[in-house]
Amino acid sequence: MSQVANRRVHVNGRWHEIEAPDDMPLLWVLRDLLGLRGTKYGCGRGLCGACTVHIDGVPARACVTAIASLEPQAQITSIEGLEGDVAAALRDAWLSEAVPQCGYCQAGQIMSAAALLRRNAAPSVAELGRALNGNLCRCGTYARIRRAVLRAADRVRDAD
Amino acid sequence: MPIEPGAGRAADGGDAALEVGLHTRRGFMVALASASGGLLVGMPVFARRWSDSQAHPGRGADLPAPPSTEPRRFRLDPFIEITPSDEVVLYAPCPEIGQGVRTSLSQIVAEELRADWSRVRLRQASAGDEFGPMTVGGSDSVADYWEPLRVAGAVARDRLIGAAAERWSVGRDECEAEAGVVRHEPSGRTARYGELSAHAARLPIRSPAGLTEPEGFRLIGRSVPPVDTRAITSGTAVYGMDVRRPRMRFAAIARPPRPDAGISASDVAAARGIPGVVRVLETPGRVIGGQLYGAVRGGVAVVADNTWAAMRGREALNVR
Repeated sequence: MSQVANRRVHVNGRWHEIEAPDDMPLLWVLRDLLGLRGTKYGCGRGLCGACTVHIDGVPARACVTAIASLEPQAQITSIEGLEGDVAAALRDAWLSEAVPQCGYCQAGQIMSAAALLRRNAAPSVAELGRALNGNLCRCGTYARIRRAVLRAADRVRDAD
Repeated sequence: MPIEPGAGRAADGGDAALEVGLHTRRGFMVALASASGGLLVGMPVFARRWSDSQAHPGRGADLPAPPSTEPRRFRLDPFIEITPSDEVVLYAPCPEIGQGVRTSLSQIVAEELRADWSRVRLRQASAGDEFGPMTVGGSDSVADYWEPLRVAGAVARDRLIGAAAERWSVGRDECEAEAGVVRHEPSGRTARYGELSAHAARLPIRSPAGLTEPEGFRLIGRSVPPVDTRAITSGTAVYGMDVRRPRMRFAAIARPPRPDAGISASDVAAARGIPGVVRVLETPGRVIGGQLYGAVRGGVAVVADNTWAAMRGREALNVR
């Protein structure tokens, strides 16, 4: 039985006080305790990527990240808090390429893409494929996602 | 399937169907003033949905039963609202599931209404029998709503022009509607739809003189940016799972894995012992609509303060 405890979590630039058991996944902390419902529940087993967030800038599956497993100073970013040039370029590219259909997986897609472009603004198609490989889309928007990430990468590079 | 839970149900006047006789029996219209003082246009229509009268015995009881060879008729009410601030709100009776109806149905209405595309909003209508099955499937949505939405747009436009003509004491035929504005050509006077909507809602309904010919389409057939993309990419789009209500709790339901499955009292106690679990109760099975899609098996629901506690409680039930 996991311990319910008072905790502090750093999400989208500020600290939040929460009360949660050790094993509560970050996904439910975000959605149910903090009201940040842009992060989606897909499989609950780390298989689909719909719940992708950043932990210290690195993409992670929130549905299988127990809250007690986070480093105390870990900085979490969800889709609502994703900001900056890369985020703006991705969002505009998503619109230009009309990427989403139902859209349920797209927050996770963008989180994965943002982490990629921040460390590599000139990804090859193969690198792009590896970085987004675990983000599933049942609507099948992969081709548009790829075009949108490459389009955003162009803009990020042009701005530099 | 982003949704905006909201109104979409007629406050009153919904039964006052006026037949306007647009070349088929499907052209019925209801118009009423909305609570905001805007214009609402709704319509009972015949829809080509496969759902049958056995599946929905109570539906459309206020309307004469169609011959068995006719498609089933149900109400869509109200359809369009024009707010005083010029927002055109379409209440969609069918859900968005990635097929793009929120965009395509908006295009259909906006075309005939001569609306300003940037001010068209689509909201998911609240669940209600008057909307029919509220399902999607078989690529029916655009085909089913194609004519009703065009008629609704044309009727609303006619009344907005009528309101402007009365305001200026000029003939309707001297007025044109375009991009959310009615203009009186001889004098150059203009009025926004939002300014005219309350007046328009009081005008009688007239049968539209005709619908726009395909050569005249400006929005239909054109690729427009999907209406939801910004909300989706910012994480603000609301899906069914994101809806919250006051004092809402969360349930996870265990379904029996086989016909004689059961749980014991000790398992229920185990579920109740999970922090955050507030109640464990049996949910009866029922058949909604037809057996084909509507059968819901009974089960045991674990109700909790949050989703994780409900899921943990369901695991603790140990159904076997």
